[in-house]
Amino acid sequence: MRSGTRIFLTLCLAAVLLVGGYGWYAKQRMSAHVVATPVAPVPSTPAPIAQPTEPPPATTPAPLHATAGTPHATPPGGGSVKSPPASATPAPPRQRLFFRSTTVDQHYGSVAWADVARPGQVHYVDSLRCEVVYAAGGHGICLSADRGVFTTYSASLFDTRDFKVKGSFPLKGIPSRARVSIDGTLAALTVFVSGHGYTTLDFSTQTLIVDVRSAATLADLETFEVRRDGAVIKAADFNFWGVTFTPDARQFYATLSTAGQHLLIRGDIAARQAEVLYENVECPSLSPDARHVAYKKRLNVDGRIQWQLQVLELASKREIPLAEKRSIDDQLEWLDDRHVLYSVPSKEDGSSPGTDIWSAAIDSKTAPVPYIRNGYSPAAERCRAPAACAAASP
Amino acid sequence: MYPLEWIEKLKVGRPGAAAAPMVISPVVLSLGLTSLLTDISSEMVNSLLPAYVVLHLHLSPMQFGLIDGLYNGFAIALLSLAAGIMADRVSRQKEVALVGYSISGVCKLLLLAVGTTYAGLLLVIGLDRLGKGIRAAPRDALISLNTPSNSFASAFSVHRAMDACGSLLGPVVAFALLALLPGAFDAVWITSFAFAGLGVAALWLFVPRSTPVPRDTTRVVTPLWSGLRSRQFLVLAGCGALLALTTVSDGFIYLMLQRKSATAAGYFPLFYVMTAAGYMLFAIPAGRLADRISRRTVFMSGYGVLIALYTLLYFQDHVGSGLLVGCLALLGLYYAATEGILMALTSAVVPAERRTAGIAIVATGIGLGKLASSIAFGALWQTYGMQRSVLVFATAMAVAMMASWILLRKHAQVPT
Repeated sequence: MRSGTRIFLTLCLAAVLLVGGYGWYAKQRMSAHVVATPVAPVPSTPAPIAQPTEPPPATTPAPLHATAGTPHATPPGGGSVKSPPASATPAPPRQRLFFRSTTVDQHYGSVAWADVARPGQVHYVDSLRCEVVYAAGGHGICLSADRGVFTTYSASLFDTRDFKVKGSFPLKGIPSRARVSIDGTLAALTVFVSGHGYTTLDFSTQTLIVDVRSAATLADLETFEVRRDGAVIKAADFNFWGVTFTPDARQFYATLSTAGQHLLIRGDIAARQAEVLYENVECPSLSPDARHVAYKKRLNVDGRIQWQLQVLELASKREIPLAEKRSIDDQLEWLDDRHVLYSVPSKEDGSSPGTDIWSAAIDSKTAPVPYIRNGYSPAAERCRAPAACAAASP
Repeated sequence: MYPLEWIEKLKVGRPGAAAAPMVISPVVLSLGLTSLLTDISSEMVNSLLPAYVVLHLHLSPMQFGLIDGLYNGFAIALLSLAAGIMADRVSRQKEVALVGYSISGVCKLLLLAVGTTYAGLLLVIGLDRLGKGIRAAPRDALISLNTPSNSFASAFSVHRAMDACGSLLGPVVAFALLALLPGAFDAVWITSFAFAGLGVAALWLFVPRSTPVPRDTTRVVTPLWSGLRSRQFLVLAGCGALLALTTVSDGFIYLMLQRKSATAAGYFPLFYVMTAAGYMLFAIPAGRLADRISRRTVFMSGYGVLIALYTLLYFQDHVGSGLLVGCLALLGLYYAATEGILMALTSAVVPAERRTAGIAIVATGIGLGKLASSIAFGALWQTYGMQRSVLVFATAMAVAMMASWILLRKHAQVPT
C-alpha cells in the first residue's frame, strides 16, 4: 500500500510535468506563430466590380479603429506598422471585403477588411472579435463567443464606417451563418442549439431575422407558414438555416431541412410565409443581380457527407457544378455577379484553426484560386446607395 | 435494556442492527477517486466538444445526430453484459474495469491524433462510450464486494458523490486551461489524458484484486444464470427498467426548462452542472438514510420527487430563475435517491459470484428503458406537444411507481 501511494504521487508529478510541459510548448508555439498574414494572389480573372459608379470619397473621414497590415511581410513582433509602402495617399477603397482573421496572432478572431482591388492589404478591427461576420448597406453583424466556464454567445450589430457597436443581444447557441440585407435594415443569423443535452452531439438550428436598427428579433423562421406545391407543410423536425436576402429586402431564400431533405425555400418577411422551390440546396446565396443562387449540394460519398458547390440559374432552373472539387461547408458569398468566395480549412487534417478564402468563377471549368489567406466568413460589402458604404479613407 | 431501545428500533427499522457510524472502506474511496479523476477528464472534453466541432473545425454538427443513441443502445449493452459475465467467471472485476477506464483514457490521446475529422471524432466518441460501458458494472461490483451488506447504499452514495464532484470540476479545469492558452484545444486533450491516466493509476494501485468467491466444488461448471434467477432479482431488474421507461430524459427536461424560462439562453451546460451539484450534495444523506430506514422507501421517494418535478413543469408556464434552480436541484435529488440506491438493492439480492453480471443486467435494462423512453417522448412531443407529453409520462410513472412499490415489498425486508 505504501509503495502504491509512492507510485501514485510519482505519477501525479509526471502528470503535472506532462501538462506543464505541453502547456509551455503550446504557449511557445502561439507566440512563435505570428505568421505573415495575407499574401493573396489577385484572382486570375480580375474581378470587375459590378458597381456602375465609383463610390465618392467620404467627406468626413470617421475614426478608424483598424491598423493597417503590411502587404508582404510582418515586422518582427507583429506590433506597430510603418506607413504602407505603396502609395502615400491611397484612393478610398472601391469596395471592401470584410472577413474574420484566422491568423494565429494578436488579431486572431478580429474583424478584418481589405479593398477588393487590393486584397493583399488587410486592415484589422481589433475591437470586434467574432466567429462569424457579415456586412452590407453600411451595417455589419458580428456573432461572437464569450468564453467562460460556460461559453455563451452573442450578436453585435455595428456601423461599418466607424465600427462602433450599435446594439447587441444574446444568442441561443453556437454561431453558424449571418447575413445583412443590401439596404442595411435587416440581419439574419443561424445558430446551432444543442437540443438534447450536453454530452451528446445532437444539434438543431435556430434562424432569426433581426431588425438592425433596434436589434430586436423580427421573426424566428420556425414560426413561418411553409407551403409545398400549394399545401401547408409542418413537422417538428423542421430546421432552417442559411438565409440570403433579396435586393429589395422583403424576401429571402433559405434552407429548410425536414425528413432528411434539404429544400430551397423563398420566404416573405412581412407575410411570414415561405414556399418550397427546389430540392437538395443548402446554404443558398443570391447573386447581386438576383439571377443565380449559389449553394452547396449534399452528396453521400462512401457514407460520408460531401458538399459540392453549385450555382442554380433561377430563371432556367439550370444547375452548374463549379470546378471546385473539395467538399466545402460554407455559405458562399458573391464577389461580383460572376465570382463566389468561400472559406476552406488551411490544413485538410484540421490541425490548425486557420482557414483561407478562395474565389471561384461560376462555371465548371475555371479552377478556383486562393483569394485571402487566413480568413473566414467573407462578406463583400454592397450598398444600395454608394454613400452608405463609403469607407473612411485610411 | 435501555428504555430508549424502541426508538433505536424505529430509527433502524429492524431489530438488532444498531445505527452504526458510516464506515466506508478505503477501496470504495479509491474507486471514488478513480471516478472523480476520470470524470474530470471526460467532462473537460464533453464541455468543449460542441464548440470545438463547430468553431474550431468549421464543421456543421447536424449529422452527428442519432449516433449517440445507437452507441448507448444495443452494442454497448451487450458488451457490458459479456464483460460482466466474464469478470464474474474469473473474479477479475478489477482487471475488466481497468480495461474500460484505459480505453476511455486512450481516447483522449486519439482525439489529438484523429479527432479532427468526422470519422475520427465518431470513432473516438464511440470508443469512449465503449470504455464506459465496460467499466461501470465491474466497478459497482467492486464497491459492493468491498462493503458489508448493511452499508451498501452508503458506499454507493459516497462513490456517486465523488463521481459528481468530478463532473463539476471538469468544465472548470477546461475553462482555466483555455483562458491561459486561447484556442489550444490540444493542450486540453493532453490534460484530460493526464487526469484519465491518474484515474487508471488510482484503480490499479489502490484497489486490491477481488478474492475469488469460494464455489461449490462439486459442480464443475456453474450455469450462466445461476443466482440470477431469483424472483427478487428479476422483479428488481424489471422494476428498474419499467421506471426508466417512464422517465423523461434529462435532455428533454432541460429543453422544457429552457423554453419556460426567459433567463436561460444558451445555458444548457449550466443546467447539467447544477444537476450534478444537487446529486453531489444529496447523495450521501440519501445513502445513509437508505441504509437506516429502507432502501425501497428512499428509492421510491426518488421517483416521487421526479413526479413532483413533472407536475411542476406541467402546471408552471413560466419558470423564474429561483424555480429553475429548484427544478434542477430536484433532478439532482432524484438521482441521489435512485441511482446508487438501485445498485445497493441489486447488490443485496445477487450472490457475490454473480454480482457484476447482475449489476450489468440491471444497468442494461435501465439503458434500454431510457432509450425507448427518449424515442417515445420525442414522438409524443411531436404529436401532442410538450405539456401533454409530460402529463402522460407523469401518469405512467405514477402507475409504474405503484406497481414497483407492491412488487418490491420483499426488498423492504431484505436482511442486510
